[in-house]
Amino acid sequence: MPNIVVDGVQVEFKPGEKIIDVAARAKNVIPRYCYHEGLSIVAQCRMCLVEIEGQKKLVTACSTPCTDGMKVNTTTDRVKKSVAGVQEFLLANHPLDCPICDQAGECSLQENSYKHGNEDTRFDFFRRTYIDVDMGPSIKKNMNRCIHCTRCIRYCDEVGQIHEMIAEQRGNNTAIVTIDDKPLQTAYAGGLADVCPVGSLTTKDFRFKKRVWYLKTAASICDGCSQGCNITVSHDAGLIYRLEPRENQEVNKWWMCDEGRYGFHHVHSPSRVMSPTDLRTSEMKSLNWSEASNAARELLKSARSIGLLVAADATLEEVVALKKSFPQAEFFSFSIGVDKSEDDKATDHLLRRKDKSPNLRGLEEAGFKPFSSFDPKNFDLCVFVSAGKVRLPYGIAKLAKKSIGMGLFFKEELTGLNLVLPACSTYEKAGTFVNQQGKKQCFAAAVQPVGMSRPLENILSALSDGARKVG
Amino acid sequence: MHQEIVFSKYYGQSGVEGLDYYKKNDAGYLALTKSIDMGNEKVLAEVKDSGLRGRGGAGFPCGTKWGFIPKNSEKAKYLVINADESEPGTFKDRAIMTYTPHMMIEGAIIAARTIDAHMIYVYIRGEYVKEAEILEQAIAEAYKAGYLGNNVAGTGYKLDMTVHRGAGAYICGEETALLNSIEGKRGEPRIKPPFFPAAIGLYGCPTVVNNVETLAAIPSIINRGAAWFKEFGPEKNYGMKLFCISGHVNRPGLYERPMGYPLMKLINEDCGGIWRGRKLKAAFPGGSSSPVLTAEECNINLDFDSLAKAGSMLGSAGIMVIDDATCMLRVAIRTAHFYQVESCGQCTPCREGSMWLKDLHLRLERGDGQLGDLALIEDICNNMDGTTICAFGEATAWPLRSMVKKFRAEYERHVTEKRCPFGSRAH
Repeated sequence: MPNIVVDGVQVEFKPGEKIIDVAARAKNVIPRYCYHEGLSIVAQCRMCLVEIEGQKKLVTACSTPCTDGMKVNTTTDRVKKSVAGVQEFLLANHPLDCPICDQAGECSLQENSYKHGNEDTRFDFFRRTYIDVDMGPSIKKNMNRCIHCTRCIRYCDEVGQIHEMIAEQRGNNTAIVTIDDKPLQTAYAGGLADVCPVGSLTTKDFRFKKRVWYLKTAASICDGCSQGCNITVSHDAGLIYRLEPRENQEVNKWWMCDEGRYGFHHVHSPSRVMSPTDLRTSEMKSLNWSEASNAARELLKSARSIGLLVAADATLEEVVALKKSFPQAEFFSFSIGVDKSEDDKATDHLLRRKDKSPNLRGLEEAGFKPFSSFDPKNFDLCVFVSAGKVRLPYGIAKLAKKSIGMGLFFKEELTGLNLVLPACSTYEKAGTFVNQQGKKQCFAAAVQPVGMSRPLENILSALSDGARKVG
Repeated sequence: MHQEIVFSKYYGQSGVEGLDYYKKNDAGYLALTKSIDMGNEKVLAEVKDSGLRGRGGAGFPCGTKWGFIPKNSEKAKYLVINADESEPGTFKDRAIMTYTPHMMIEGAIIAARTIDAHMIYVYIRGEYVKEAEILEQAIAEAYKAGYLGNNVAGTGYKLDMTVHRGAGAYICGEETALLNSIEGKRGEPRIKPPFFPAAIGLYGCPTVVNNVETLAAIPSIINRGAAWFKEFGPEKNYGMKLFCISGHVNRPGLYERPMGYPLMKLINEDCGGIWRGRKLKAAFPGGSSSPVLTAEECNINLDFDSLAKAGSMLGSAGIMVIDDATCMLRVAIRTAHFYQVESCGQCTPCREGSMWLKDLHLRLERGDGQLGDLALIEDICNNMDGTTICAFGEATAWPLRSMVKKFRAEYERHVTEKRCPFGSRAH
């Protein structure tokens, strides 16, 4: 394999690779703004200038391909001066409003200022100012903070594949806008906040909600559809604040759609049922867990046949627990968009799928029958398991003779249910999903279960004696 | 010094731009016939041998550039003529296109045949409305006479030529920005590598971009041979050249002189000296992008290598002469303002630096500056120099840095006297 030497460290490269990526493998992160692995190269921020021995001019590490034996220096005085110079130029017209900027704490401009910038500013003229612009339901733009890296323009063209953002005017007056100031059309608009290295594009959803340094993160899987995008859940004190894509080249690369990105608010919905609830009498009654277990056992005892309708966002672990607890019951899966996973298909060029559940394939592999063959009237007792975002058909419990709801239910969904046992949503539990490619993906719990909700496995094991007797 | 008028015989006359006039008085299109007889390889060898250097500003050898075009490429090849003459103080291509458009067209046809291009684009600056009309008329004449079209001069070679008008951006004179502009994209220079459009140019195909004056020199080289061409000018800087002189001289205008012609001779003898009996203070030898020369430094020969050795450049040969009643800071403001307005805004140093420099100069001229601003100007120029995609960063930094270095005392007086010593007011 051919080699280059970066600051004295020898690194192998594949032909065509750029210096910036090869150096990153040697843990030498060259500062950058306009460069993003997932977007085309424009080399216009000029932050990644490095010196190559034998070449007169500094070159941009992002656009220069490696050649065998190339000696790259990233720490010479010349490089340091040019990097500090670019940093100073970028800050010349930057408002320095970090105290009220949502990006503060995860801002490339801040980080590079600490690492490579000058301590004070020599710029003492008026700065460019613009007013904030609403760019559709997802994104708010603050043009004052913009550093003209054009990542957003390329993101719209290449990831969203809609040409809707452009650079307007030229030179110092360059403004990044949507064409004719229209709202963004792309279903991936939230990603603009991810690719924006500064606080210019932020999501309205997260704006002004939390300083990022308070956030803890957990690696999770999006439960919005069968793609199973890898995500990072940011949370603090039991509250989820945002979801962001986590790089996985085989599943979602660097991206996720807006539907998935904002699909966590149900977790903290005020109408979510957070304690076991008895609905057998006309009066709705909250129970404690031992009362609830007794009530469930009573219902199970009298049932000779049991059918389970499980929303396809139950994890493989939950499926195993359900199968163990109800060895002789019949199992049906439920997903939105498709009945069987073979009907699933992509609904756009990038990530989104027709099957709006994360684990239909997992349920099918465990022998679950499709929803179309489910008839609640065939069973003495129906157990409805709703383990995440997928909502079961409204009012289906009314068709059942008797029914228990386990999982995540909202107050407006309780018609027909006799008993509700609240369990966890996707982000409150750890588990495994099988995505549309057949890939098993594990994820960690981000937050504690809300209210009196318990993991489904715990609920089931508390019932197990009763269940076995019935079964 | 050997000299002969090649280009500018008919400049200033009317009715000289037609095909008939060119054929009658300038051996029009004989070079094309001769080049067909010679064959492409001999033509290329002749141009290489003549040592003709590009007249657009960089002075890159023309024959070498043509030689970069891959011979076995299956892609279409293009010849693009850079007629986006926007460098302040430059007006030579305009004269060629106004008075002798066929000279350029003939050169372009020879060039296109040599590099096997079947399409020629003329990218002409938007403000040249009349010139574009003349050019289009001349192209129509050439089509009618069979020099363009499906059967070039009876050889069966297909060649088309079209005029593409710019929309008023200085940066579109940079060859890769020009190509982007033709493609309908934003006029922003492309990143390097590739270093030459010969590899990946217009629409991703091999492309040669030549200046108007370069191509206008081709017919005479073919007609009279490389040896004749080399009679003019010093070594490696051959040929006759159009010098544009503007500013504080008695007879500003366009002068055709051999390369290596002394600047002082041009100013004092040809242009009748500095106007109003004043003294020479400084001169830009190659448009506003070239580092300024002080009066002492003006004892120099006008060719690529002599000027490069003196730390300046011949550029587009747009010589701007400045007399001693002029405030250099005002010159700097005009320069800085121009570059601030024309920066494409792509690269950080150029976008932010050009504006900062203009603001600093304006403040100094108002008398509000500090002595530290002088060092700051130099440092900003240093940070812009060599850190941008195209040469625009240097084009901004070089003249401004040279002015603050060479006329430091004058700048300092603005600070200490808190006003402009020349009494001019900042605009």
